[in-house]
Amino acid sequence: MAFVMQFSFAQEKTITGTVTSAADGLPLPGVNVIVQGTSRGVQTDFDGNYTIKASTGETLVFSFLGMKEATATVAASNTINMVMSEDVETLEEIVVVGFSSKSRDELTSAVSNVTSEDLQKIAPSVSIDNMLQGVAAGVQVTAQNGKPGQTAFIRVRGIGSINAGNQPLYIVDGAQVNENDVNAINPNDVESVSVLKDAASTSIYGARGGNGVVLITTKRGKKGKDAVIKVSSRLGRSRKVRDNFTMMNSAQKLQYERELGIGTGASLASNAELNALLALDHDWQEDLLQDGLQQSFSLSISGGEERMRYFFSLGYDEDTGIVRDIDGYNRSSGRLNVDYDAKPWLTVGTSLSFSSIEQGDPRDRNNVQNPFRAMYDYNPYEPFYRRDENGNVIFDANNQPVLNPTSAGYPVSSELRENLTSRFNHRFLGNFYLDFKLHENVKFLTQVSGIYDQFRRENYLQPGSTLDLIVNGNVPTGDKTDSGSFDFTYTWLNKATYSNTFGEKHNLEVTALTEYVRNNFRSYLASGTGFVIGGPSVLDVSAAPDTVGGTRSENALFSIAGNVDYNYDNRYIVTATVRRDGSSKFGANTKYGTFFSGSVAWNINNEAFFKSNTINTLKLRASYGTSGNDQIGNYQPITTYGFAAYNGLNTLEPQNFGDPNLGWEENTNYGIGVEFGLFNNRLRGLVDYYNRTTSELLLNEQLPFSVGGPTVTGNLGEMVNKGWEFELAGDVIRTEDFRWSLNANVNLYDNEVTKLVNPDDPNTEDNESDLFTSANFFSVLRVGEEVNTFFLTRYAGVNPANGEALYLDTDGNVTNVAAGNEVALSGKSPFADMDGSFGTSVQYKGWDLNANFYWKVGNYIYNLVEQNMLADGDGVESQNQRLDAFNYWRNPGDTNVLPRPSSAGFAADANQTSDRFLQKGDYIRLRSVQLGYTLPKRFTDAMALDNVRIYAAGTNLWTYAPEFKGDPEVGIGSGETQTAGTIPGEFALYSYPTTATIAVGFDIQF
Amino acid sequence: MKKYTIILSTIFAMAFMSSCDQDNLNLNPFNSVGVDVALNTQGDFDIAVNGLYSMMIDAQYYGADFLSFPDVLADNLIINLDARQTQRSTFEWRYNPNDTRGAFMADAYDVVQQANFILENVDKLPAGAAKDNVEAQALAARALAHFNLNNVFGMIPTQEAGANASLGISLNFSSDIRQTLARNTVEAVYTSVINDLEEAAGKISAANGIERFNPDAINGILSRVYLYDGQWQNAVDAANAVTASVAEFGNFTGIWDDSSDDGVLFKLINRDADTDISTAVPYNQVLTAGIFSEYVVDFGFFNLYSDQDVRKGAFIETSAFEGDVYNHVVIHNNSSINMGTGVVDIKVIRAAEVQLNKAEALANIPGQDAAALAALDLVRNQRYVVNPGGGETGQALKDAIQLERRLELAFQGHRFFDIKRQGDAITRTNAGQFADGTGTPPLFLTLPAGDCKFELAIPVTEINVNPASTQNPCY
Repeated sequence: MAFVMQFSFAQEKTITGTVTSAADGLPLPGVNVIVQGTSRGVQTDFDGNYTIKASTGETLVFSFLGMKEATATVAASNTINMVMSEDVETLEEIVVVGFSSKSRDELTSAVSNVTSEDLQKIAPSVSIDNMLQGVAAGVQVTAQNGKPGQTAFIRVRGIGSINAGNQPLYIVDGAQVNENDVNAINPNDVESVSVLKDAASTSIYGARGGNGVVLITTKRGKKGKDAVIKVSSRLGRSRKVRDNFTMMNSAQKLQYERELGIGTGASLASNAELNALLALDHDWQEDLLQDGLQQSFSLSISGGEERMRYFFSLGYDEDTGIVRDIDGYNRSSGRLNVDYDAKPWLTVGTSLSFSSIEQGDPRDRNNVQNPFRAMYDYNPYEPFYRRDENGNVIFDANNQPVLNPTSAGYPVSSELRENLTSRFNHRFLGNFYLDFKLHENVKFLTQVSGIYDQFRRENYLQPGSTLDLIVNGNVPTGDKTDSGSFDFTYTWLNKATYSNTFGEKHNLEVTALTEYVRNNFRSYLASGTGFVIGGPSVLDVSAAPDTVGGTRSENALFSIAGNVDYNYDNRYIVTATVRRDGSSKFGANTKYGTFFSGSVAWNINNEAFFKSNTINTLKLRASYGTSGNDQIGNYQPITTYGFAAYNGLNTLEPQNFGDPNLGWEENTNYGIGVEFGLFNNRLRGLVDYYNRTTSELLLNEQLPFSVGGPTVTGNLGEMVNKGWEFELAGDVIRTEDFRWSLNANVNLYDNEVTKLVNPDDPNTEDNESDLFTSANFFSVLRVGEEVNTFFLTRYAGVNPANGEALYLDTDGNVTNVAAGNEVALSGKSPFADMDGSFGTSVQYKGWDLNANFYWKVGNYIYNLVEQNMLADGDGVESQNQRLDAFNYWRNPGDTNVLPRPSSAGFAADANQTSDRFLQKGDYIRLRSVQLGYTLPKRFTDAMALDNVRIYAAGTNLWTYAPEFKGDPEVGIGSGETQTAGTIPGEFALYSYPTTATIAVGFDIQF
Repeated sequence: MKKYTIILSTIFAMAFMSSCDQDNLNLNPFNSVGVDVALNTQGDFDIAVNGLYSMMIDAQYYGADFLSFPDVLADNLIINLDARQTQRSTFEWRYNPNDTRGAFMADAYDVVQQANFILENVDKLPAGAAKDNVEAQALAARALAHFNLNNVFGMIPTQEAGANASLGISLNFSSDIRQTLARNTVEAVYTSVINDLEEAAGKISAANGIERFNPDAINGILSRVYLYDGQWQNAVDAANAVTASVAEFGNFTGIWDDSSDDGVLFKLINRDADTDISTAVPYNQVLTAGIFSEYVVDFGFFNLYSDQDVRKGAFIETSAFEGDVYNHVVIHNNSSINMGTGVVDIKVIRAAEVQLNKAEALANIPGQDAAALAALDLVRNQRYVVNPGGGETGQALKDAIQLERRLELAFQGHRFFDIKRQGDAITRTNAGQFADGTGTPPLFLTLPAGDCKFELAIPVTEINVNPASTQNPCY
């Protein structure tokens, strides 16, 4: 306040006036009026009037969202009326692009932008990436699975890589974060998400930009704006998406077993026994699952004075998830973003956020510990608790009912209750910057951003629990494992920008920057054994240490880059970028790479000759450029020997076989696009075509078992992604009270592997080869085919004569042997040919309704779940079957049936891995629907509030999948089975199911 | 403006000083060493040799698989269909190129690769006993791996007339992972195995304990290899070079919980703190309700153990699980040292086997029945309260040797090879999984002599990525 006092000695008087809009002459309420250089400010009232104290010679600044800032110098008059005009610039969408922001008009490249207003219309999620599904053209978003707090797989313009990561580069306020860190961010804090799709925009990120870039910008305060306080709360329930198939009930399963002569049903001795089992009929989903509870609270305060802007928020989110006995997810987060104009030529600022996440995990592997397998496998006539011969529940020594291990041999509820796994992430995310205005045309920014992730995982196997007794020889022992990591990535950016306008029409901006990124990772593991039944679980309690472990790694990236933007009269726009990257991840001979791009755009509608009343916007763009992908882990090019132990002594064993010439994958992209707006921009759309060639594909080459079967990472392939993107939006009705708009986007994808294995490599005989990689369960890579084309034996139906399952051999002849007859199924891969979304938005007075559908066509999923549910008798005594398993071959001549099940539980031809279980993954889903009501001004005014909105929202409320049996949104198939390089959607195998949610909430602003 | 210039230049200078340093981009791992510096000193070689042993304990090699699947394939076990049905396709001889012992193949060749890496660098050590000892252990590990691989995927020389000329496995003498290896004949494989072992026998240190290859271990393995190769006299000679004697009756049970090493020539030490592998898992798990077996003792075979036989109690526990009584295999379950279930040492070769190798070889040499019987009785005298035999000769002697061999080496990964190398059929008892022989008998009771399923399928991955490899006839 000191400086305010300094100015106050001047002769102060009271100024009054009215602020009106130039467009219609009506008064403007809520305009900020500030005395420049002070913190004195007022707002205009409902009639546009204001009163403020100021001295002669001081300047009043009038600001209002959507209006051009206006100033007036206090002179003799005590009245200053102001007419404000619309600011066309700010009404346009501002898009964050790489290291700068631009208006849509100035863009030369394909960028999808999602603002906080857009996000508000989408049914909420705890992780921002899940909310992007269907929102941006060319950006495929698949939930990894339905686990609370789980992040999404985001694929920008197809599948760019096979073994290196396919995830885009995530940049949050300048800090590089990885896919899993995205859920650290409170979606309420997000101002905008930009997805950079083509090389023209991504090449400024060099070796990291090849898979696209997702730029997340958090909210910041605005100059001269009184504090806005926002309180939001939401409460919801989640439930597993309903199965589109029916499992057998007790009567049906027992009948099936009796028909096959297998299991309990076959050995029933009396009607009484049968009736006793029928009485036990129940649905295991009800025993193992629950309706999840989701709640979310957040508070934010933002505002700004003349020299300071701030945004502050606190949030708490909770999602119990749908597994009984496990608390799924909770997150506490806080953020403070501050910008301060320390000098007229210097702004200092910071974005700081902290989040703490706690997650409880069920096992995600294909075994008896997985509740999502158990709920389908367990026979409906097997009770939850063990029963004695009289049908009474058995109690243990502590008078607790004994869990039924069932015919699967292990009670999964024991796993959920007594083998507890929790994960904790504490993340600091943010930046500090100094922004110098060195000269009217020269700016210099130095910014350090970072993410520090402290991760801890605790697993406690309670002494005396079922698994404990198994692993510890029936002696109650108990095990505890604490593990975790400290992961710190920082980025130091120095950027100089020169911008100038020559002759009013030539706009030039030149940027030079250096960037240094370094990651430091340390992990530890400690476990102990021997705990007290019912006692505490910290490691100090353990009777004996078990194992310890720990590791460390580093990587670094140094880059120099430059960018030139030239804009002639907003008609012709040219952008050129070059970046040179050096990365520690690559071989000694291949450390450095240079990436570049060029792009042009032509705003035809700004041409003098272009006079059209129909077409308001017409823009052509074209771009060409290169970028890289360095997501291959550290130290891959080095052949190394690691250490283990034998008999208490150190050992030396091979750890990695490396290729010293290993370099990054290179993406070469070109694309063209048209953007248009018709009828006063009531109809808006764009069409983009792209061609993206990924060369020097990083692949793990499987070497023969006869040399030990190692895999070696090399630059071994090339593939091409081509596609079209269409976006269309229209305002059907656009009046003051009633607005109705429709929007849709469609994306076509085409992928082809064009080269595998470097033909120059003397160790390969030819360049056409199947590369089997560790993540590869049912698919291969083959030149001329889509990436990860399914590699399966073709099923040829059932032999009507004897009920045998028939297959085609590699030559197409009918056989009854499945194994060894696998062929690449051309055109069938886990990746969609087409996807898109469409939605509608209706606003009528205070009401708003938003709905969004997502659809996907042309991908295939190997359905291992179905293979177990239609098992042809194989192991059916311990796994329940789908009701349609009854439709099996019974008599010669039967057609359209399943193979005859073997009463012995096995027939060599039955239940074999083949394309019988490969299903089209086409689906359409009501992804999000939201109905809101904003209270009329007269109510909120009476309550001294600015804005109150209440809403009800639902996600995944309706799904239609014509062919796939199960939920078609498959990301992870089985989390602990697919340990590295997961191919999203390759197979379904009991991962956490997708959930549907319904929530109600309110947002209050004052 | 001067002020700005100073600030700007200072910041740029700072930026470039810290960032341009190229060393920042040459980062090396913290938990491993590069291939060039891995093997230089005696200490490096010593720990690399230790690596051979820990790699032998990998789960798909001696860690668990190799101690179970040769029994699962044969007639010592029958599957308990009420359990998890692990290795069922193996048990039912339904394996194919996609479902075969691929991981076993890779793990065994890993040991070969490591041995070759040591042998290629061993000349960095000064000549002498220490160098010889490193070399001998690497040669022996390579030979044993080649031998084991061949017997699974190829024929055994004595199996049938054409066996020696048929395709065995690929011999690998280089650490180069980029080589492509064609399969060698069975004869070439056996010649190489014998050469490696004979060279190792000459160089191995007599001071080595039983936790690593030692003179007795190598001679013992040689007696096995010569026996499989039909070189009877060499088998006898190798057996005679073994000094350790057959474990005594009173110590026998202690061998299996590692409280006794009597008669053990070579075992892989398996500890909670390092290798920590449960060797029992392929056979069973111990639950509250009792032992939950994947495989139980074939009822016919169970009846061959007399009550006087110390092995019956050491190997088998007859007990109930959820109301049903089974004959469980418990040989791998209990340790006197480790906490973890099934974390027991892996007995690679014992003196009793050597005497049985010798007895069988002698029985095949005309006129040596008495010596053969003597060797057999060295075993029988230590296994029964009263030796049930007495003065067998001719075929009766041969049968007695085979019976004793089956009883002595059961559940230790021998039975399939003992049937296969003699060109016999596998014949299971038509009895169920319960202790009294009731229950569900195996679906597949017989694998006829000479069936091509005696050679397991070469894994499809090997066929696909190694253009020089070829598949076995059956697949």
